[in-house]
Amino acid sequence: MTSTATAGAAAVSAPTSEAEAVAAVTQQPNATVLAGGTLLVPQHNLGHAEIERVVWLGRAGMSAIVRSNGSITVGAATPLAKCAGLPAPAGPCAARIGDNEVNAQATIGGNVCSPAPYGDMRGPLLALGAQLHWADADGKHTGGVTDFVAAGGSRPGVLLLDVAFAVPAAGSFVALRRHHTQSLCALAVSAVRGGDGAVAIAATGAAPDACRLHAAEAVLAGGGAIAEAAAAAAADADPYDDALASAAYRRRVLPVYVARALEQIGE
Amino acid sequence: MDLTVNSVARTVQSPPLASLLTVLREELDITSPKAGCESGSCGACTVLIDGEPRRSCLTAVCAVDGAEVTTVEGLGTPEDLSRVQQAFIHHYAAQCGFCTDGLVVAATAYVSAGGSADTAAISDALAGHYCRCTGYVKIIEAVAAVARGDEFDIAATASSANNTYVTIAGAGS
Repeated sequence: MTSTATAGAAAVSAPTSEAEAVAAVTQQPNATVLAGGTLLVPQHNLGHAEIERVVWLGRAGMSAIVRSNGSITVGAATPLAKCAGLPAPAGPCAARIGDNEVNAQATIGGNVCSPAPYGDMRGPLLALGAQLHWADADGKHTGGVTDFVAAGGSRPGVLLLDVAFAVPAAGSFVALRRHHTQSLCALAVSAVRGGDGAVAIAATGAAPDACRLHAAEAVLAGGGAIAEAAAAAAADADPYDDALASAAYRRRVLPVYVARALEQIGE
Repeated sequence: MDLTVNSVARTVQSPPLASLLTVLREELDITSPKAGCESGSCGACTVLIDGEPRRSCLTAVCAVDGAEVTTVEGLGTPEDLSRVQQAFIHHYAAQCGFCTDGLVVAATAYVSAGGSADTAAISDALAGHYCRCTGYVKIIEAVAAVARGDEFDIAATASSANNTYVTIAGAGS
């Protein structure tokens, strides 16, 4: 049963099932989802986010990892630490987000809903061809990461339910580590070989949002070598400057990391 | 909201989205968790929530309704320090002390979970805690000593001829 506490500026409800959570998020105006809170709470308390109404998922379940018939479904409120055992590239990516305490508290759904430099999981889920399920006032929807982002998935009134993907034949995750960026990731490349042998490649940090590297994939599909595919990666990139790395550095590192990711899946 | 803080039942009146850090320091007057970065990066606000180390600055107090929260104040007393606290004194693991409370809490969770004395494992467990005095070596030595099961005689530590602080203080007296 949903309990509601009201004090100060924000009202908080704590649904105790996914169905209650859907109702609470989609039927109340301006309902913001609170899962781990590792991004939302400091934004709110430092005055960077105006929050009128919060739906806290801590008692709603939505944190199971279900493996069935070669596919895996991960509840949106699953802590990243619990996702560390997922197959590559999802598991290794989840394992390296934040330090131990943050990794245990932050959720996969919260990460997917967060733009760069936080949305680390978008790249691996793009490469895996993951299907996301979400709900809003118009009902329930299914689509890829790009569809979810385009639909404004992180806005109030939208609840990400889970992410699902087929277990890949092989997967790899290669991330750039720079000490001054703490645990934030300047650039990462995910590669997946599916059951049909096709290779999908995606990057975070190569463009303002995570992106598939279709040109590099096409080179491999045409029988090209890793070096050719790596060189082609720039066609889908849109390198940018930020505090983590310069555009020039991202442009230089991307083909190196694409090559490493492909080598790890035995291309 | 009701929570148990250092084994004492407390009812708090702060707004539900207030951080646990703010509630501990400003409503409950428990000041060992420090407001360092207030964005989860430095580790100085770390507390135990139901036995697990968490950043109190990232935790909405509504999310710990009914939970058990432990800070350094709940680990030991000046007369009866916990073994981790004793080890930090014995190994001179505190300099300015700002990061110490978070580190003691995280180290307590580490050794309670059966963590080893392996330096790499300790470094990994404490990776989210920044000491700007850069005293990491002695911090790791202290945690390793607890993991090994070392015994500490704090009175002997304070009177040791090798105790630089005491020696310097004595020279000036």
